[in-house]
Amino acid sequence: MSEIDKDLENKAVKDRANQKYKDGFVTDIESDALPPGLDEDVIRQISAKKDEPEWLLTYRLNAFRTWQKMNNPDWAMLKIPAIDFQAISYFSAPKSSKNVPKSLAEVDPKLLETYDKLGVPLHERERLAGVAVDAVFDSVSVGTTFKAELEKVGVIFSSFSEAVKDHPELVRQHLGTVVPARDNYFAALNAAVFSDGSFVYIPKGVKCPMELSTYFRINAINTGQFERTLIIAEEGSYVSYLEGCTAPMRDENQLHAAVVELIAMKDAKIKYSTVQNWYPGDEHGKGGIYNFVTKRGLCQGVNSKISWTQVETGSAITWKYPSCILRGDRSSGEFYSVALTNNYQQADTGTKMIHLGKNTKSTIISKGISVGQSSNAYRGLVRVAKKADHARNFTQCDSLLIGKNCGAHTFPYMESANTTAKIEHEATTSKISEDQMNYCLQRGIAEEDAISLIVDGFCKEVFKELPMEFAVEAKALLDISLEGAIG
Amino acid sequence: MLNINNIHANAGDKEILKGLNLQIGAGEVHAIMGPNGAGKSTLGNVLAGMPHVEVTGGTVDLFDKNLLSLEPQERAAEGVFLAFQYPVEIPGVNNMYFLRTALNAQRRYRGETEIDSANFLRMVKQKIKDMNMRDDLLKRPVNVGFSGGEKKRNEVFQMSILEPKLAILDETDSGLDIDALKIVADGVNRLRTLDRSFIIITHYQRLLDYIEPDFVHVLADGKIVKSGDKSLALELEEQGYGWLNQ
Amino acid sequence: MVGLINDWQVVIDGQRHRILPDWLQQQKAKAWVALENHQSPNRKMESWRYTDASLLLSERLATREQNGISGTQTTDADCCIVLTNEGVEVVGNQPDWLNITDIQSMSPSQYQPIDVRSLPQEQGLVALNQALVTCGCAIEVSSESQGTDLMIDLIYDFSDNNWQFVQNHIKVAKHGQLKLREIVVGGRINSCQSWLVGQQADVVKIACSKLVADAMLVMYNQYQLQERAQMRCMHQRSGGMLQHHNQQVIFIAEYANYLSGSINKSLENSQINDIINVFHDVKNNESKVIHRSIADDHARVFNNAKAIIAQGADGSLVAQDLKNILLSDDAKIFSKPELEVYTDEVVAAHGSTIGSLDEQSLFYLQSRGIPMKEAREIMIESFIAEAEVC
Repeated sequence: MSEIDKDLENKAVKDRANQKYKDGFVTDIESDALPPGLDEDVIRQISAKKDEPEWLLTYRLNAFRTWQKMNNPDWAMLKIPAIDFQAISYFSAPKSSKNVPKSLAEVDPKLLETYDKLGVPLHERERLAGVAVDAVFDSVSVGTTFKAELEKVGVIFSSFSEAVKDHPELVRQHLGTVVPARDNYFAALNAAVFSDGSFVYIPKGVKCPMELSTYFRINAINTGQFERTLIIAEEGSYVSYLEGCTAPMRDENQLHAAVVELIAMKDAKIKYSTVQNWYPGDEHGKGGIYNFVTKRGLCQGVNSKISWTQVETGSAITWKYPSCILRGDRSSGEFYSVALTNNYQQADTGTKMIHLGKNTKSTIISKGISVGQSSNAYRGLVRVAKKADHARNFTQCDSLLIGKNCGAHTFPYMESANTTAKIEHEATTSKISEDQMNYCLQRGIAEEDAISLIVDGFCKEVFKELPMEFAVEAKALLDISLEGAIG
Repeated sequence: MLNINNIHANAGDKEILKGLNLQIGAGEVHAIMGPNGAGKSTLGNVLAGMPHVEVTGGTVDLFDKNLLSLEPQERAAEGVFLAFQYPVEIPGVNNMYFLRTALNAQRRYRGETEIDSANFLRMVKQKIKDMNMRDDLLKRPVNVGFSGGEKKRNEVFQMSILEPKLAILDETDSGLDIDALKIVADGVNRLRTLDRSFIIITHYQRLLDYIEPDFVHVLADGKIVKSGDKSLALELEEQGYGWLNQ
Repeated sequence: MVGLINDWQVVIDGQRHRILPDWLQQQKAKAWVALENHQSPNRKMESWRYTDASLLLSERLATREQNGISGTQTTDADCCIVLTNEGVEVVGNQPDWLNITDIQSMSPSQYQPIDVRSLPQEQGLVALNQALVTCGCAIEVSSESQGTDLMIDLIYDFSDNNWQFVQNHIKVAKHGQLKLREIVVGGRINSCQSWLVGQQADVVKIACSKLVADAMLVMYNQYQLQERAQMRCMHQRSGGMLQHHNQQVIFIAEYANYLSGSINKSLENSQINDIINVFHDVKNNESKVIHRSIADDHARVFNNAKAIIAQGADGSLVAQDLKNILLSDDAKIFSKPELEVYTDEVVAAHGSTIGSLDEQSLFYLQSRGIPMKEAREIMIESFIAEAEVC
């Protein structure tokens, strides 16, 4: 190979490497941020900036005091470097949105451009068909599309801050009822400092006419993101909700500690999908988001249903267990997950299904893919309480290893106190079978494409749970994340 | 001997049998045919006392005894035998032990003396030969690792040991190739006696080429809609079940 | 931790008459110091989260049944090794290839230390054993055992009120062959066993702990397997107030095979913990773990099988099969099959279920004339038969 060819090749490789995290750009925008540091004063400032009622400040302060007494969880299969909570800024907002824009027309064009780049157009003309989007940039929501259309059927879809102003009674009634502030270290931190997020309310009998979506973006340096999402589905209602997440490429680690609470009343159904693509760090493990998230749904009513689907490809560290508390009789919970880790990424993710009601059902399908030096663990709990007659769980969790230096772990916990319940768990761990690989190669498919093909097939059961347009995106994400898997 | 009177039965929330009547005399062979979902298997399950089939009305008498008030094992001891469409696998429990336990439980129920292992073994050896089955199946766990044909043969073999008064064959022909079908049919024919009655549940006529029925009934939508002799089965074969609706 | 030492201080009185060799006394003294780093078992510990560890310190029942088994009890074994708090006694014909040494006269070379790998901070009871050991023996099986079919019984004969701290160090030479049946019936026993299974050796171990109502048993067994060693372990457990079993299997060379079956029948108020950690440190080893557990009445069972496949341990085959049946609404079952895999050339699979007896099968049995009670018994037999590996 000539020198020139080599140069060209090197350049191609570099280009490609730079493409790996396509959302890694920084938006140069003036922001209004609090200086780093965390104490009660900072919490008061956050609350004041958001002009919050007294009860919410009290809620935050109580959470903060609880958090101070708690310890970082150490039971996960993760190496978590010490996090300096005083080095993080707990509030950052684009300056232009200091006065909340009344319509998208008033939103800073640079912001609109950012979301365009991310493939989430917020303009009137180019909106995603049939998807209403709430865009959260650092600590604040910068715009919500299709608001008027949704209001017509009584659906409330707004930023969390707006909801606090416009529907304080709903927020106050439900906030912290599914994930109490004392639940865990990061939930407590979130309850103390959460900045914005989405609020959804689906009234009785309403089938939400479009997909609701929130797009989270961390932009500012040294900023943590602590969003809070609350979805309430009244009797007989239905909603499908999707969140996407990205962040710029930075050498520093950034903290993301979100809380999501879902409440489904009688016969209500909530479908919650996540495509998580926070910046994972570079191939040497430098930088990336620490993603510590508490997501939990309460199937409060009879015959209610909550379904979690997640595609996790980003973040340096992922610690999340979207869970269902199946309180209503005949309620059901589902968890479909694809988690891919590459380079030095670490993930410890899974779910909890708590069966309290009779004839409750849960299904868990988890697919873990470990590449490079990464570590990927499934951790799941299925608990059947004494009164949960005829509860039924099925869990299938498979791990695929690509490379000699990665780790794939499976930690299921099964607990039953009811004789009529049935819990089943199956898991396998292996590499891509040589037979499959050889078959593809023999048919002329290149190794890298074959891996992508086989991995895609491996994840099919989960992808089919995603709304159509996001399934395509998820597959593309997976392909990007798999790059460098061979070699 | 068997008198089924206006029986109604649910499986789950669905009503499957909707007033079925059937009388069977000693030594008679009745074939029950009908389209899928008509309730053929439910009839067998009602007679055997399957837990998830709920009888909501009607009576079933076997030799003037109320069959419906009996537990499944009591029905068995009274002489009801169901050859399952899908015989259950019981790992770790060998066929011999299983059969002897069953036979002796039935004998105890009827106040008869239990059979000792030597006599039992002699009886079993003869009968397994009759069924054209290998001896080693006796030592294997119940139905575990049996092929589809072996499972069905095993059902008929069990029948020959337990010597019921009423044998119900639930789609015993399904999934059998022609050779296996002949073996099963031969086994059944050998068990035909003047006082043993049979209910043969089948979707196809072909089993009836080998086991000649005295009566053929067509079961559709939870009731017997047509009864006749052997020729009815041939008519059905030719014209299909659609013809019933005309 | 001081608490742990104080809690257990009482038990060491009365065992002072056993004089151990100096080197072992020194080790015990060291272990005693190391106890500082341990806590008493408690619910915050992963391996004790489902067990009422406070039972360990409970008083014995005032009217307790005679629960020891005496060494003269008839067994069908060819040779019996009987452990008592007075020492070791061998009953029957001791074959030439079998060497048994009381811990009192054990040499340092017979001692095989236990290196607790999984959650060492939770193994206060192992540390306690190391600090307080008074009884036990070294068993050596030479190569001449090849081709033998003798059954050796190892009987724990402790009817004493107090906790007994027992250590056994078992070494099977290259090509050696051993069939060992371990029998525990009563008493309160804290036992550590350390096995070294030599090249191409073949070991069958049948561990029976069918305990009387108020007995307690805490066991930590370490098995190190050399090249092409074969080990089959069968555990038959029932009864007692508390049984806490921990097996640590370490493959130290290639092409060895470990097969383990557990049958845990937990009835009345008994609690059984069944924990197995298999370390695939090197390539080309195979492990299979089968647990069948039943909990009735107010009983509890905790099943935990874990396989750790190290980086580079290619060609590992791992299977875990944990099935559980819950027969009473007051009973509880916990099941936790775990895989930790650090290399890609592996085939690892596990399955676990918790449920009740299969209704369809029960109906099948009933329809053949078998009464419900018998049908259930047959189904339970069927259920546990899958774990009968030897």
